[in-house]
Amino acid sequence: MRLCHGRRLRVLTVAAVLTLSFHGLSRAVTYNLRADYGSVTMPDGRVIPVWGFALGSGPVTIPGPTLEVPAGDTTLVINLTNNLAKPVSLVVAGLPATLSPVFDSGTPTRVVSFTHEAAPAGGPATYTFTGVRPGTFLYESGTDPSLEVQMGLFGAIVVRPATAGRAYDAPASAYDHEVVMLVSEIDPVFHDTVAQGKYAPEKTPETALPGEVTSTIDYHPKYFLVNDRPYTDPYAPFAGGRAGETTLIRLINAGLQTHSMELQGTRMDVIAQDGNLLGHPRTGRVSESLEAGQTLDILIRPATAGLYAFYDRRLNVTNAGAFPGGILAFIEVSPASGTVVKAHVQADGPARYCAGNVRRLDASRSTVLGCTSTPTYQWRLGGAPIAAATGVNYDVAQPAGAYSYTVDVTCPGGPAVTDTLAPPAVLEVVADVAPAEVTGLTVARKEFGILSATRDGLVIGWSPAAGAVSYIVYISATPSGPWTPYALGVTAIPTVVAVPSGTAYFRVAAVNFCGTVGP
Amino acid sequence: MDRQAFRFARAALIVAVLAAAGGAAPASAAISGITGTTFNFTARDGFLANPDGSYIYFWGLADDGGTGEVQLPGPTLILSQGTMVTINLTNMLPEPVSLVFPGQEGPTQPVYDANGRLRSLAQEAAPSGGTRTYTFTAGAPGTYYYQSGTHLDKQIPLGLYGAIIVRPPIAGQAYADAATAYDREYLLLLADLDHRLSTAAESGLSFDSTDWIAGYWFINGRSATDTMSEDNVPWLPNQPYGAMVSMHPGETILLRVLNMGRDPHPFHTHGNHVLAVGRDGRLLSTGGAAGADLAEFHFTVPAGSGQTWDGLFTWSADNLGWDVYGHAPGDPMQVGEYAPDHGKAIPTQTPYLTSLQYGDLYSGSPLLGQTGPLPPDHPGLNQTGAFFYMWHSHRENEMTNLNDFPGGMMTMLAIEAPWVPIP
Repeated sequence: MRLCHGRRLRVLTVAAVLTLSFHGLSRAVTYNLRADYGSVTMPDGRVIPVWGFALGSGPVTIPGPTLEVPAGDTTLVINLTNNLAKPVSLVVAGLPATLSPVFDSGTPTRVVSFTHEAAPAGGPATYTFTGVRPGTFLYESGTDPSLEVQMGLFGAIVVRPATAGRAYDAPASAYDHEVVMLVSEIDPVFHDTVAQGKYAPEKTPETALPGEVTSTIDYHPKYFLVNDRPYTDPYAPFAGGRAGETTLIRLINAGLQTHSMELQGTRMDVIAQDGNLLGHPRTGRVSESLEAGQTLDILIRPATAGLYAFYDRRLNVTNAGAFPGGILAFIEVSPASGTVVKAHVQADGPARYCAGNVRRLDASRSTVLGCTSTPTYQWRLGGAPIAAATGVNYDVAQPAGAYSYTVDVTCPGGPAVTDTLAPPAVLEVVADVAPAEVTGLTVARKEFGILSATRDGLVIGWSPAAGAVSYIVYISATPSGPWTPYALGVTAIPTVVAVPSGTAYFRVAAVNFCGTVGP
Repeated sequence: MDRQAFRFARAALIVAVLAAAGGAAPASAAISGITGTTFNFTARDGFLANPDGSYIYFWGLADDGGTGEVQLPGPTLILSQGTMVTINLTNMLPEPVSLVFPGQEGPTQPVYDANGRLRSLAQEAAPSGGTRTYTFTAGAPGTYYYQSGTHLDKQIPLGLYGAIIVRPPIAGQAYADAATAYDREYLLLLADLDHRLSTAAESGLSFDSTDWIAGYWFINGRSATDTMSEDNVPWLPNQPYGAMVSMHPGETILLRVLNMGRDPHPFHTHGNHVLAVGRDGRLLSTGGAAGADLAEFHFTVPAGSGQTWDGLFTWSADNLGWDVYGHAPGDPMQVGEYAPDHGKAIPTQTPYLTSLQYGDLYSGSPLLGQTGPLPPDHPGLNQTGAFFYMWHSHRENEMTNLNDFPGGMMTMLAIEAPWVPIP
């Protein structure tokens, strides 16, 4: 998981697979993307299966890698390979391309993709955008988008103008720092349904089996992300430079809902929309609507050092209902002058996690300004320095318990400036105790629909087991097994499953926070 | 009391179009609120009375310098530009609360719990009697708000919010620009509520705010048809602010529309378009002496969550093609009258009375400021011959109270004849 902001963007430009070919004055930049399976873990520990993009053979990220088109390049080429079992394609609203829609073989035919596809299990396909212009854009799959975009096949594109330090060629778009904030939403039930092969768009709600989802109409997001994660502590704010400087926020909405982005403590000047510089900026905004698929370029110039809260005023500021979370961010502005060191840490996963795992604490997003030497780090546990823990990262491999970590970040030499992380990064390591046995199993057949027997379901109930966060329903043709999973990740008791053919036996097992399955 | 006297006695209630009864003061054309530099608020719980007969639990703020009743929305602060404001908050609720002031300058002061988890965007007042003082300087003129900075998805929808109006030094203008001059002004604070959140909070239970589906919609803390009752009616002790809009032809009224709800509330005005001149406390201008040159007309003000819109609205019977006063050619003009239609007869003949179906707001005459005979069972709600226009959320399903129409985010504009006083 990676947060894309100014420093990372520049790193990515170097790290990306770049093929520069010169055609007179214009050049092309080429990225090799891969569509693949992956997963992201939400701050409450819920693992979300996703389909996402990756650079080359790198890891799948949500959102996909930010693709930067350097100054002078007017052609963007994306070579896409596809490891998914579904065709995938790539479209960018706002960048010129010749689209070749794909139709199915039905009568009449139906469009299945806005443009040519990368075939399942390989591909490849090449997408070429010519005459690209500066701005902030969103790339996403153009195939079955109601499914594939929601599953995670999207990312940001930043096209740079000729003049460095500007969002567009216009002087009014000049900035000192930039951040990309791509917001998105996750409906975990939909992701689980797709991953379990129970997404059945060919069916209707009347003909679907229990557990199947037939469309995205019942879309019900529970998680709301800014770049690769919802708000979670420990939190590293976005870097907003020094007081009086200008920060460019490239705001992108890859979700399906309208968000209303509210900034506290300073005003927003919206200078561009959908990659188009506005003739007159919308100055001084406190809250600005960000529609699905829209991009906004916003300049802020906070006069005072401090943290500035930036969040969805539609109050999607929870993780599955738990505040704080969701689309909530802080932008940090440092004092106008002097050496500044401010410790910030983020973790590579939830602060509450299962024993036996390693959690990496990362201080690389600490703020260090005006420091002429390389900052040094000293990690602490409960206030006491940890021997040899002086790297920018620290890997925590602790038994069950609660641990409070801080880090000192120091600018050595000159006027030595040190800052210690506050508040601390508190990690809770949970013991992996097998959940109790499930008792009180009941099975009843129930007719849910009036159209056909396929709407019959089996209502399976049981008594909640200690330590359970979910359950697995197993099925067997004999009372003694072998048992195969029939419904996974069940959280509702009772649950409804499809009626199997013949005689069937059921067993239910509890799954604990660590994923350990009980008896 | 003979019928005529009875009708005059009810004339003061003209703005209470659909209200049941009452004898309170008429709606004020000024925005009700409190002024000063120091305010003492108490956060506490209460119940909203809804036109559908339900009572909904809410968290609100009480002005201890006033009635002390907890209210929705919180007291409207009417401030002069540059005022240093102090708010002393006492918290009688069962969990910490705080106040933030979006649009006012200054960084956020987040508060974390012992486990390093973010708890609040501002210093809190502790539960059950804790206090906290907030200060800010009223910045640029315009329409703003305050809201809870703690547990946002719970405390804001439950009612911890209110409007802030910052006035420029020049009276009668929204901004320091003559293009924003107005004759009267109205506040239309839009909000929404999923009553399941209220029920859970009342019982001390949690509510997963990602399951939010609003069922009640408010203007100034009231649902229609209570929106059309006057300010401070006794039967709505916790919802003091009415939302009835009244004006004379030819006048310009300033509408301060702000959305404190979670959902977008595109607000639709009948009668004319709204010229939006300000957003979030900024003149819509290219700057300098250009005036409100970026002002834009809307018949649906696209009020997104947390946005404020300042708009000018006029009405003068333009282009109706007939004289709303029933003047004969040569009669003197009324103030604010649309001159091209002066003296033109209404192009229809009034049918026989027995052929008419009478709306509750029909005065008995199609002419502005005139009344006529009404059937004996008519409620006689329009004693001044006003013209009425419905204003409402353009998401039409929001004109309901838990799916009962009419209700929700809806009110009326009354065009009163020039000789009818509007307080």
